[in-house]
Amino acid sequence: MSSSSGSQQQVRVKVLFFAQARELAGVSESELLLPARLASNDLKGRLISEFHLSLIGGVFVVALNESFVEEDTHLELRESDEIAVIPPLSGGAFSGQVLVSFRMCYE
Amino acid sequence: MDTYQDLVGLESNVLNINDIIQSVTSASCGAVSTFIGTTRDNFEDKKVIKLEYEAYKPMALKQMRAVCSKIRSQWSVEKIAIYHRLGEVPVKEASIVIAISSPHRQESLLAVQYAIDAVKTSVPIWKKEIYAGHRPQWKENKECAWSTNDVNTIDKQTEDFDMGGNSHIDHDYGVSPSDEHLKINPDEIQIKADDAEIKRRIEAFISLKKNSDTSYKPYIHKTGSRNNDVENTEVCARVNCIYRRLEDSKSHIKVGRVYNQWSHQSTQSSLPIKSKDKTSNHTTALEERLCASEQFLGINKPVPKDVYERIKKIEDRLLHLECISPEYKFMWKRSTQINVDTDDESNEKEDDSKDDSDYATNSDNTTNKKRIYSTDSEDRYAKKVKR
Repeated sequence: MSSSSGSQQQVRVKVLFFAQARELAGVSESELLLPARLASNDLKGRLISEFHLSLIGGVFVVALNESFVEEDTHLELRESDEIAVIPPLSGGAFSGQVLVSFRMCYE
Repeated sequence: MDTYQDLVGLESNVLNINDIIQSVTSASCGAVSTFIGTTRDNFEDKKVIKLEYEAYKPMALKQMRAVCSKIRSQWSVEKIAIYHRLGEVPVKEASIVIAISSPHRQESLLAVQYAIDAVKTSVPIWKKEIYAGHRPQWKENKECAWSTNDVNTIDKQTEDFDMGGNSHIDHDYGVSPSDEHLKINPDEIQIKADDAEIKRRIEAFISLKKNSDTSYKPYIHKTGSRNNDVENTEVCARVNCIYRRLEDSKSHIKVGRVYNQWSHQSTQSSLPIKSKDKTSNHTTALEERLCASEQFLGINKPVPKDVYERIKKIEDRLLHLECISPEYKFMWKRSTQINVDTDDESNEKEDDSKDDSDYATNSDNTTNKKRIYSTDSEDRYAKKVKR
């Protein structure tokens, strides 16, 4: 799991869930013991398996201490860091009206 | 008061649009551009009862401030206000209000457009739609970079912003549109029309179908509850109607008949049962019933000796009568009295059959007729009477 070679130091982080992820995990907040150094993709894998997020698959991003984590980055976690599972956003307004497939056809 | 002010907020109460606009208005600004996002009460014909917004609050506020600073890095605007509603939001109420003031309108207009886009793609806020009769659904902004739809397949330039064309994509489509959609050959697209036109066509089709349905109505006359067919409860579908006679028509409705060239009846000569005694292999009771049927149907004597041929003749006669007046088939069944107000040739047939009634062993004509045209229960009753 951990790609780091040297220290296998573990840290306890806080995990927040929102929207669909919150409903799948069944909690809005939890804790997780993670290697201090790990790849962002490994982190996503751990979150999916630990919190039953397979239904939304990889369709979420992770925020670390209120900042989006880019894909394929290596993370250095500290004790009490805050990780958030962010499903696709839907802030703003409107209910959609047009099907995607229709939109394709217009152009 | 600071001239360059960023006002961001997440509100659980109704967004006061006037106050927000007021807060960005300044004497040095010639323009205040606003964007007010409300929600329609329907999504793909599903009635939206209410919406629920939730946010990762501290990060959402942080991201909203980041949007403000990005606006300032691109346009010369004075005050920016971005307010988003959270919690339960009734339909038609504003869920987001953006107001930006600038000395010239061009800047604030562009800035507002950028702001709503940026909010949709970078501020952690989620919307759940609760429908009437459908399960609730978490929405996805199609602009969101990691939504289940490939954001790149949609050309943002084609979005009709003010028309509210920002579509949220339904999770339930399952299959996400992949790159293939981009490579559609334009020649293969059969329908090229905008929303309004497609909607108009669908509605025109529906109304056409509805109207064409009325063309059947003249032929069917609904009967009142008086004629409710309570006896026929074993059938799964019942329609209470009778056929109405068309003008200048001998027949009341068109009846299709299939003339089988070959059937068990046409090859019955080879049946072993026929080789039995032709005259006495049925009982007198059966003979009596056959005679009564023939008499009632107006089948002339002499009748064939073979009982199967006799039944076939009766069946043919019934088919013929059904063919010329199909409506009476059901009327006989429903009525307990035979002599209902028939005004057609079947009445004449009945009169004819009465004339040569000498063959009937049972003199009570009514009982015989009942036996032929009655329901099962009456039939059983008739048999009892006979014994």
